[in-house]
Amino acid sequence: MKKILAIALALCLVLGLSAATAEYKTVEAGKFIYATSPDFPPFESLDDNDTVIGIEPDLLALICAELGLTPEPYAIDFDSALAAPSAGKVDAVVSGVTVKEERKTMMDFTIPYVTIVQGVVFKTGDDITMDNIGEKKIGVQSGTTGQFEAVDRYGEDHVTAYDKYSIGFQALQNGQVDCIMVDDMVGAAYVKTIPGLEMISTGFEPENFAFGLAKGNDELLAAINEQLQKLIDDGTVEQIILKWNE
Amino acid sequence: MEQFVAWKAMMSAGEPTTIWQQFYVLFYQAFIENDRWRQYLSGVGTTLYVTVLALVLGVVLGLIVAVVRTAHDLQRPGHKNVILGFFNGILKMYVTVIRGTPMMVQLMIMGLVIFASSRNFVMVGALTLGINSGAYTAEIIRGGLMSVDQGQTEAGRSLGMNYADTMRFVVVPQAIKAILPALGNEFIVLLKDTSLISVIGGKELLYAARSVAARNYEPMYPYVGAAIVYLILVMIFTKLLGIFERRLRASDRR
Amino acid sequence: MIDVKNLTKDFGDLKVLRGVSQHINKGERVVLIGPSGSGKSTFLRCLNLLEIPTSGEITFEGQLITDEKCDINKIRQKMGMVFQHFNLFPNMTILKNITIAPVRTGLMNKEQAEKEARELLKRVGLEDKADSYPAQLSGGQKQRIAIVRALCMKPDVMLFDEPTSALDPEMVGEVLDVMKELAQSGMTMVCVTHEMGFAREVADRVLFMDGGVIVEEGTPAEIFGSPKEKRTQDFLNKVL
Repeated sequence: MKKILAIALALCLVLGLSAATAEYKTVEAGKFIYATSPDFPPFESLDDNDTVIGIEPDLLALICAELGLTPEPYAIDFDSALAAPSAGKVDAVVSGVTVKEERKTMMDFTIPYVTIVQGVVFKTGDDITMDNIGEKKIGVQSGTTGQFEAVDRYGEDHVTAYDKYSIGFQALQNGQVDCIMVDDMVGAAYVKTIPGLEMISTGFEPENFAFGLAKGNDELLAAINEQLQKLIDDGTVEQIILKWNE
Repeated sequence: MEQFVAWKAMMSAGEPTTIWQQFYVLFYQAFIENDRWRQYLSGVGTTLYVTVLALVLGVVLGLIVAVVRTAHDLQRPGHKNVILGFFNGILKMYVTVIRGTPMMVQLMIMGLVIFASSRNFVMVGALTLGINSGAYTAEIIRGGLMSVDQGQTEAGRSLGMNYADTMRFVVVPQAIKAILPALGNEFIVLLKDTSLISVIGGKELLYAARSVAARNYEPMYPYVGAAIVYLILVMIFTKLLGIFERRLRASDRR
Repeated sequence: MIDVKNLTKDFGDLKVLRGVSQHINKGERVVLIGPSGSGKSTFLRCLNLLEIPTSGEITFEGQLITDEKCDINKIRQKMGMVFQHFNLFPNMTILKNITIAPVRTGLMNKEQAEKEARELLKRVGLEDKADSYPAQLSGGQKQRIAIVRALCMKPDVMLFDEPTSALDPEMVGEVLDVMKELAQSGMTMVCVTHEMGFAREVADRVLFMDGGVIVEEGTPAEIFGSPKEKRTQDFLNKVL
């Protein structure tokens, strides 16, 4: 009896340990390095200590804790962040990435965890509607779905792409562009911080956000999907999103 | 076109493809699909436009600064001109500030603060680059003017020519020959620095390459393509400079 | 014609001229001799204000040129100068070298200046060099061109600052010949030189300078024949 107990205990211990330190193949052992453009509140932004904070870092913290990995952000401009996983520099891009068919050649997407729509932010009082936006100057971030939508719909001449949203929103305040096309949840965060701005929805097709993992890391993808599904099912994702949208 | 679609589908599906097929697909989508070469072409146009504008502005500014500063330094001791001293002080500060701050910071300040209400990003970029280049050009020209033998100025002045004529006909032409290599170097730096104006929204060559790279999620072909264009431009420029230099050296032959 | 009163010149702490007074008459040919560092070149360069005197007065043709308000460019047009190192403009042809000043100062138009230049070139035997560049000429030829360049401004006086010191020995003669011819034509000349033969032959008056002052002056016969001052004797013993 004692013997069986001991074996069971040992088994538990071994299993438990192996669950905590399951060997996932990552760029640096034990770490989960992700490329991100931290000018994208509430999904990710920088606090005063240069720490990346927001919805996605919170989610990653929970997921990685379960997988026995330490999340480590690699801050870079968005278009470069998208290219980082296929360049083998990082394990994933986690930067409010919209699931798009073309992007699947570059990365393996996890299951989506939130849905957004493109919004248009402009200075309160300016006459900007979805009917006349085609005549305006639209600011976007380089490489975002907002850029593609704006260029495809209104033409290159109406669009100016900036490295960072922070520069884009400064240009908006200066009047150098008439509006910024940006994911609605992010736009709302900027409207909240910068006085005198408002946002309308574009009514374009909704977009799903997911993490983009370096291609071929099926074990890690499956593990993250499992954890993410759990967090969606028990309402944690929603809670975190609500918390950051307060 | 059909071949491109077919091969691209093969690549997306992960079917085995030859290196040639991969090259064809990536090259096609980087430069030919949706007439993307037009984006590069208009980007090159902007790059050249900004370079020429900035170059002219830089040389004019540099010449003014250099002449004023040289004139100030060569005044009779004890006979300092107050107005000249005032301008000399301002220009000295200009050179110090511009050479002491990074190009990128200057672009941000010019684009987002000083010209906050301008939408002509290309013009603001050209202006910033020109002002930046002027500070470096000024020192190059000043060095060139100083390198011309003092006897040349003396000879010109002893013949009764005024300072301006002596500079214009005697000193400057000789200085140009001495500074041309350094000036050419500065121009090359300038040409390449135009790529920085994309941060304030100037749509030059790098902006085009970046847009295409973002569209295709494939950075190599657009960026290498842009690099090759820059290289070709610099090589053409170097060649032209060489021809110009040879013509200036005509008076050296024996 | 040129009147110098109590001229001094300091370079920092170094007193190069310590009070020189001198009068040079029209048509006079004055030769300055003396050891190097004696201040003779500085004295000459003060005459057309290439060096600004520290104190003292210089009057040229009745005009006080050390006065701030004096238009020195106008004065210099009347005072030709020839330098030790020629100082031809290497970026111009010989013809352009000669004509640039008269044309730019408005003394002559281009045609007049070129005609004048060619005549002067003929006079020094270099008419075939009009379209050459300075780098293509020998030292002696360059110095003859430099003299022509100064003459083309039709100056009232010619200042020579050791015109033969930088020349190879075999070229000294051709330059001195031009200067002698110029002297015979009645030009007022002030000449700093080490060519004692030339001084003896051409000068009306020889000035011996040492230590920033004129130690002794007189006709060539007086200075070379029976120098009174010890310093003059020592110097002449060394060079002759």
